Amino acid sequence: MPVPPANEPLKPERLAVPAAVHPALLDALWVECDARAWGLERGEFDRIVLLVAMHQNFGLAAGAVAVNSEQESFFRSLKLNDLVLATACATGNERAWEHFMSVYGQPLTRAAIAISGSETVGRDLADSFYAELYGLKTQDGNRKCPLESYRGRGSLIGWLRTTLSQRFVDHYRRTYREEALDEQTHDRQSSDKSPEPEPQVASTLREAVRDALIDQAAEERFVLASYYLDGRTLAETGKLLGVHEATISRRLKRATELVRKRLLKNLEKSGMSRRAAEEVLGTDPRDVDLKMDLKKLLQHSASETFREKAAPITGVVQETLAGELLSNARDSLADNVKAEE
Amino acid sequence: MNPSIQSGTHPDTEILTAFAEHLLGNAEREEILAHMATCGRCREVVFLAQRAMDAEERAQVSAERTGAKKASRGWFRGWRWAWIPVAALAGFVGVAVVQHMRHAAPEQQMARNAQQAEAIQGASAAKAANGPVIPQAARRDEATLMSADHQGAATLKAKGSKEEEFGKAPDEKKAVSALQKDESKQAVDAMSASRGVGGGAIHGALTARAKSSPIGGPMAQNQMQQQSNAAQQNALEQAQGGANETSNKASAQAARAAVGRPGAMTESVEVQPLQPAAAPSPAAPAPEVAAQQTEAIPVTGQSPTVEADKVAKSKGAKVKLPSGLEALSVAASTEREIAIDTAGALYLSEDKGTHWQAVETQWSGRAVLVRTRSTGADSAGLLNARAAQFELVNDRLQTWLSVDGKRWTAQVPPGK
Repeated sequence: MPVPPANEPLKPERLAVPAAVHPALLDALWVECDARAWGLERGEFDRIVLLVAMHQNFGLAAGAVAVNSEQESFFRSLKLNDLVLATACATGNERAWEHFMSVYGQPLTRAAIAISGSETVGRDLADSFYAELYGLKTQDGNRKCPLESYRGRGSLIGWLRTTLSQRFVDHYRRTYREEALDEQTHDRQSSDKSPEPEPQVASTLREAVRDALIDQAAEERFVLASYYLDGRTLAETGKLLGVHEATISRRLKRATELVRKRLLKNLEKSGMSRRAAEEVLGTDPRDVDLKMDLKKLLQHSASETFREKAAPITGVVQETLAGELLSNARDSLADNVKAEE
Repeated sequence: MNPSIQSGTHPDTEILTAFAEHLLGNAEREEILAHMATCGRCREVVFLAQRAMDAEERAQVSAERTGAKKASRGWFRGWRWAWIPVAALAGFVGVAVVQHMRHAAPEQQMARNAQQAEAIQGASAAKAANGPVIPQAARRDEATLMSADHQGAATLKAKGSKEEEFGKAPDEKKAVSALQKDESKQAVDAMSASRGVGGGAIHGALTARAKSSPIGGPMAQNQMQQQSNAAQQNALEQAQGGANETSNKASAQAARAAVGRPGAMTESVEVQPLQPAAAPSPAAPAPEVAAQQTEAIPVTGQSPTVEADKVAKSKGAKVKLPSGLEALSVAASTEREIAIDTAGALYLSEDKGTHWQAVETQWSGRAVLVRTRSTGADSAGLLNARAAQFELVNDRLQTWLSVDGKRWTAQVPPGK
């Protein structure tokens, strides 16, 4: 039995059930990628493609064997050009790095500035990210490059932007608690001592809100959270979801009305009489500290919203989803009572 | 690491990127939306990535606009300093033309008037030499021409009628009528040339001055003298013989016919460039051949080797292996073929795919690729590597070589 060569630079982390790849397919991919233009050799290209294919098992479930047509459709669904470039960079191909920097250097810096909102911070962020991409960090003595984790599902520049955003958000979350509160925030927090609601009422209201939100569709909940919790504009949300802002406005209105109706219904279901439900909903939402409860309802991951600093806990309850919903419910109920009288 | 971030519970960067670029399927998108409805961190990440994308788009648009502005400014800047001398030159040329027109028009008019007068004088002199003396009517006509040349044809017609009254000879009438024609033409030309510059009376006065005094300059006098001599000679010739006149008329008609047939000239000019296109050339079928050749070029730009391998691939799809499984990777040399089925087993055929036999596993791991060995892939420098026809890659991306498809040896990387 021959001894296989050791110390191969490309080591798949986890191997799915390997399926053989037809060389003609590799030839076609090689021609389409035109990786030769920036110095990749054919053998290296084959290794990269095989590695990706085995790592993801051609996009199939674990244990399934991909036939030729499935293999081809898998490769066609990838951003193979970007993937080969990223993998070549991760393996230390110098010409690939030159190509990468010429294509993505300036856009990456601009993206970092846009994400951080500051040129200085953005450039620092981009520089540290470059160093990380270049593999200056080591893990167990091995060079570690984040580009190794790129799998080609989205574009490489999109992946770089998302990674930068993650770095920035995580850094912010790590460091913002260490910053000193300014006097205004401190004074406001100390002066905003809202009265504690009755525990039983708060509990009932909490349950009703949770039940009302659970039945919502995922996209509607996302829109509600983006608008009421994060303070995103309709245009931003619409662009992210790929629809017009007018569509988002209609969806938001529909979702808000639906939650309000369900909230009333749930309150009545909980054994409250109509009058009692009206009284509960007639409670000033600023008197009820619901923000943390809503967070627990909206965020099962218990991760705090990024906007916490901009929206301190007790100061902007009305901006929260529950505050908005309760305000709407209270107004409508008051109108109904007047009409009945 | 902040424990609140809960690494591992968030979708990876790849999925978030695909979500932001709208590349996810419906089911996966619903999962991500459900997660992000409750995860402020992931919402923030995708919104920030979206913001960066918008900033990049704006930067590109502004760069394009700036480039377009620079291009337009560059064109203007390149010519900005050139406009000054060009404008100055144009102004100078314009002034020179106007001045030239002012000076040249009276002189030309004077020359024409003098010519007309001399011609009439010559005709009357010839008549005097040949026949009865012309009374003072001709002189009157001359004076009329000299004083009011712009009246042209009308004056000359009146002159003609007066001459008829005096009983001119037919030859004289012809000469005079020919002169009338020329004079009327010249008079119309003079009117059009002198319009806006000066009146006919001024021209007449200037003509008289040019003829009588040196104000018009010696050149004008010389020109007028030459023209009057020529007119005299013509008038004499016309008066002398009808045969000559007939021949002159014939030649004039021929000349007019030649000049008045621009169509014929144009035709001959136009036909010439059309000749190569209209004339059928022996190379006419060439475009068809070229089109056929163009069609023969593969649109995808793939090499013939790739096309041949595609044929081999389609052939490989029909390969029936003893295991009954589909052949996923097939490689063929001149006489032998090897194939890997979906179970990873290798088979060899020595009769071009008719019969297959299983090959014993001599490699570690699982075979994922077989291919015919190209000359460029020889990097081992081993004796057996040079003759090897087939190459096998396993799931650890290690390579084995074989000459006959039966015996396989690991390829040792160079430097080992």
